[in-house]
Amino acid sequence: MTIDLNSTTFGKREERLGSVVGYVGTIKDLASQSRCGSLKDRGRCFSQSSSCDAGCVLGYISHIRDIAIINHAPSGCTAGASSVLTNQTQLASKRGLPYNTVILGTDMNESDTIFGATGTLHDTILETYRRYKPEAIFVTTSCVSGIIGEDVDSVIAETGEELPIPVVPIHCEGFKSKVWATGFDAADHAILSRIVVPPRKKGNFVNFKNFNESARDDIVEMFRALGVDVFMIYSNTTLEELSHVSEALATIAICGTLASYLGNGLEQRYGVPYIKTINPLGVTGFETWFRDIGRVIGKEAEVEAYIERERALYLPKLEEVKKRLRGLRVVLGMGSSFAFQVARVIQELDMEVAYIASWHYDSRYDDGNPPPHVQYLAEHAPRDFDVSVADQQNFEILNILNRYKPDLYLARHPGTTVWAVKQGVPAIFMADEYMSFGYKRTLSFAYTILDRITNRSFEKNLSSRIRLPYTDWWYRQESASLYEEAR
Amino acid sequence: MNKFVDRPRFSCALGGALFTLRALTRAIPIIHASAGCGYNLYTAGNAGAGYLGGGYCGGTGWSSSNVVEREVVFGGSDRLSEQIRSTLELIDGDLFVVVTGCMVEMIGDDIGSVLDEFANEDVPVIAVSTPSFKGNSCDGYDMLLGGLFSDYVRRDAEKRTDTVNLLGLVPGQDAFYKGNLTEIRRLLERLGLRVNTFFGEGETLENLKNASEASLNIVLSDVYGVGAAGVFEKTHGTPYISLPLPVGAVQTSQFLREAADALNLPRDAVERVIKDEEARYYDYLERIADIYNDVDLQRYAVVVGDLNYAPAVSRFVADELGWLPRLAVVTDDLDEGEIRRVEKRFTGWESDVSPLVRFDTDTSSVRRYLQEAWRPGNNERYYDSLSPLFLIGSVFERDLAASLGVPLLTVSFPVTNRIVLNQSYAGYKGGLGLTSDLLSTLIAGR
Repeated sequence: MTIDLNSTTFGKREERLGSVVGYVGTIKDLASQSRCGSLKDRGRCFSQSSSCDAGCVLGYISHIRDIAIINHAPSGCTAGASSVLTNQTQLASKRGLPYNTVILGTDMNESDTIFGATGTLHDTILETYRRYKPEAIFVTTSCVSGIIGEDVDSVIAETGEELPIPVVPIHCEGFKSKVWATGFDAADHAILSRIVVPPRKKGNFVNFKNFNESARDDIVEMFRALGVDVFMIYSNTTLEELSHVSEALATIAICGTLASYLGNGLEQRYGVPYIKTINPLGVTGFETWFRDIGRVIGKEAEVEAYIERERALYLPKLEEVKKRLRGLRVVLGMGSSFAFQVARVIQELDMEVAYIASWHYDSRYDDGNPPPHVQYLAEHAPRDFDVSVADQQNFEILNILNRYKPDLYLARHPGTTVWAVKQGVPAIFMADEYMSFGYKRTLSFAYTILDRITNRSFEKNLSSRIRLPYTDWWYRQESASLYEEAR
Repeated sequence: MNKFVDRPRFSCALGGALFTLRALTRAIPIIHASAGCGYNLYTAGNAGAGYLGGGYCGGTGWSSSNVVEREVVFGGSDRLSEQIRSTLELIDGDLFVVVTGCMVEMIGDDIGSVLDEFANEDVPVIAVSTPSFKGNSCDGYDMLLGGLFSDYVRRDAEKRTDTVNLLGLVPGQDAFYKGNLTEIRRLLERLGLRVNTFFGEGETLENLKNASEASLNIVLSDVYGVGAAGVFEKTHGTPYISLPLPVGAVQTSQFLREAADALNLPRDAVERVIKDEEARYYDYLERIADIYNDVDLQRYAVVVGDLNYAPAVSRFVADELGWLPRLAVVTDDLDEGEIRRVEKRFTGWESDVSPLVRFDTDTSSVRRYLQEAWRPGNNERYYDSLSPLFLIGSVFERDLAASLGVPLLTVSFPVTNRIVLNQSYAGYKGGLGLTSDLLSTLIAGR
């Protein structure tokens, strides 16, 4: 599907990528339905809080340094700003960089819901510029601004003319998409359409789209071995730097969910190749990915040399630790890409994937092809196993954990592993997207798992003394029993 | 301009209602809103409240109708009905409370008629309107309690002269609410009273259900809980008094005397309790006399906090530690009447010290008021600087503290840099705790 950069809005994932938030089946069925494009979404008659586009946007776009984000919303939608900014400030200070991004809200009240608040928004934009002198102002929309039909684009066009910096709308009303990862696309759309400029010349660098850049030093060194630089986005970037991503040799990513829009958008608009293989988690993932990069940027020999060196260093140790992990049964609950990529690593480490719960699932990416990691897993899994798309629904996860009784639960996204632990299942919150990146981190991931299952006292004590909210009735049902029929 | 949220110190009405329900044992919220509301508010509230956690069914465990575009266009009543029905089947609770977000209020769902379907359930299902655009988390606390007082608390209770309810500390917004309530309850119980705080240690929904037995509601705030106390008075005939949150011996003894007077308790019994409590208190406080004088721990202070904490903490450091609070910034968005009530709390202190008091929701304003409170130096040969200074506020004051090179203790939302468990800043126990936290910060390098 072609990405349209002339509009301020863009298609949500359900429409663009055939994304679903309710599915139950097996890995082989999911892979085949993705290929045929036959996947149908299923709703639920019970649901629990998850996330929204707007929350996703605030958390992601605020990685950029020295911008202002104005959330055109009632106060509660901006309440998470403190946690978000704490995180980003720490990421910047780790690198010794200044970080002056601010998140503000227009605090829409009752009369705004009737009379509108474009006046407030206008004043807030000007005042924000006066106080903070940011490099750009991004205005994010909300359920309330969406329902009253605020003409945010016009206010922004107006104030944009008064100010010497870009003022950019990001349309991310919370009720709009069932898939909160649409927020990544909203942020990317704003960057691609308003910040990125045509290339001046070809650069000697690759764009690397990620979250928190914890493996930065190793990655820089890795690409230095290929004789190219790496530009990691958006964490700790400046707008000026971001504006030149069109000059990259290629775009690569830690996560297909995260990068589909920007990667394919840059490829379509500026011809920057986007690497679409399985991602660099685990050994197979890393080698497949790195070789593809080498092929695209013409550095095959350097890539092979690097792989040979690293293999010699880490594979013997990896073989050792695998013996101690063999046979452990694992349930995974993660986003549409990580869930299947980490599952691949689990199998590489000789553990058994008991179940995958993917938060949402994109049946295809913006290039029109089904996600390669699901195809890979379906072809290479020792046996077919159960999969659901569980929309971060806690009641389903606890039901699944109760039924499959794994040795370990792995999840990304805060607030999910806590419930496994309360139910007595050891869990690892894989907040760091590089937790099993490449050889070295795959090895440390294996050690982390060993550590985790070596002392189970915390969850054992806690789970035997607290009560969980679910009825016995629920634990007797199938996890997908509250799904509606496919529409 | 007045409306401009710069680093928000409050969440919304829905957030306040959710964290109030999170603090109420076996009360189950059913959120009728977009998918993100519950989880976003949990993330903000959890961290801001010193990691309160989701509790029994919070965070990703909160039941939520997760309305999408379809409901926004066609109405969300059917979806809500379905969600309530399934919640009753899945979640084990004793009280179910529908709380609403902005979007369903704006699309005009008729929640009352949905609730009629559940009038005959074994457990009560009630609804409270809590749209974000109607107020902040403290307003949400009032809305939620107001709803519970009208629709859940018994109407036929006999009044008991020895029973009081405590209001005014907003769970989550006050990271120390549970420790604070437990301490104030302990003290009132020493006066021979039965005390419902609803959210304290060991309390259940029975405390709430029978709250109408109380002959007095004590609101530990000039604003928070006052609306709910008004609803209570109208519904159950129980009057209320509004007293400030007492921190330390001076304020707590005054609080006990005022509460006892309002209840017509015999004065000598109250004095006996105060005497005993103060003896225990000063036995501990005496310990710091040595270090306080040996290394000179007197400080100037700047206090930034909500209307409960800003006056109480400023007065505590002035009246008890002998510090010099020069500026207090109250971070609530208040009307004129409320401002006057809170301003009064900065007067009549034993120390006769009084800081410059400013009311402002914007974090970035604090630095400006500081210049107003203390004339900046102008290259004079001798300049009396505002030093040594201690900043007491929230994590939002971290940048200011760092740029001034002064220590910071966080007591007011958001408190993301501390794990708060049973600590209290209220009462005698709280005064000792605050002293310990403040002075430990100063000697951390020793």
